[in-house]
Amino acid sequence: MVIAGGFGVGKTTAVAQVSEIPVLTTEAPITELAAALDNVDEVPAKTTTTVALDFGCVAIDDEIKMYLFGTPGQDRFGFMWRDLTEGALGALVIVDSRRLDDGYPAVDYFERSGTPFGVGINLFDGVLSHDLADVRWALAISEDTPLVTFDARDRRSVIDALLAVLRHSLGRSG
Amino acid sequence: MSTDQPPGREETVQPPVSGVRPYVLTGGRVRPLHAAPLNIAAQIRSTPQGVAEIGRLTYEHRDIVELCDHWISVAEVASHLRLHLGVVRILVADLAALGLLYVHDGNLAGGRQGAVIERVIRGLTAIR
Repeated sequence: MVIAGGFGVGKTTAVAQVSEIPVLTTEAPITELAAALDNVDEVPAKTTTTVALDFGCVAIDDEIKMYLFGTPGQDRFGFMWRDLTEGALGALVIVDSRRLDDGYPAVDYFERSGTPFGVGINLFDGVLSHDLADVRWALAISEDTPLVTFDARDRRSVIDALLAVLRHSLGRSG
Repeated sequence: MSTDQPPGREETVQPPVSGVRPYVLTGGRVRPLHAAPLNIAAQIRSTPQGVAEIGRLTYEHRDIVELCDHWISVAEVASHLRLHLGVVRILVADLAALGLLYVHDGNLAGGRQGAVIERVIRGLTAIR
């Protein structure tokens, strides 16, 4: 599953709640490398183009391992999303209701790519800054897209948010 | 309206960037020699041949074959070896083509997707 969202919105925290292994971090995937290699002359100057991708893992049963990939939700990291969504069961877009704008690029991408997704509002201090209906309207997501509030620091709460996305994925799988 | 510091602050720290540029490790290639790049969740494991030939392998190849004495994802290998994910995807595909690694694509067969999602839902509910 893909966990997307703006900086500081709680992605790493959410992944850590569910993962059986400590959250691991790696750098950006091939498309970024390819972009750098296409302009070899420019490579020495490209020292800051890498981006952290964090991931965790949980054993579902004897045969299935679920990976959780946390990715920055900003437009400029969109090059990673195609790699991540390939084979993904679904995506959870985490938003802070005080900074809804940060959620737009990821919502937009998952809608266009047909990736089943849901939106989880991380309730900082239990405060919801807007009505859920207003958030749905502001993010322009359809009525059947799951929109839940949750607490990224709470394991059960994170799992419930993931389950909301998975049930939606199941409904779409036919 | 609260202005408190968000408690969900990202807590991972970027590992130090290696002085070796990624393209050096792949000989300037952005594609594996013989195959398509791997899914980042693909599971890999060293073959007996890989283990037997470990002494002949060069640095990154050896590190990967050594690390993969059990099934592990491409993404985990990148993280453990602190290598660029794009580089690892290419090196692993090369090693697999040489018969030194087994690769099990992490992708689900389309027809089974619904059944798999149901199992994941059951599994997650059970550990909730």
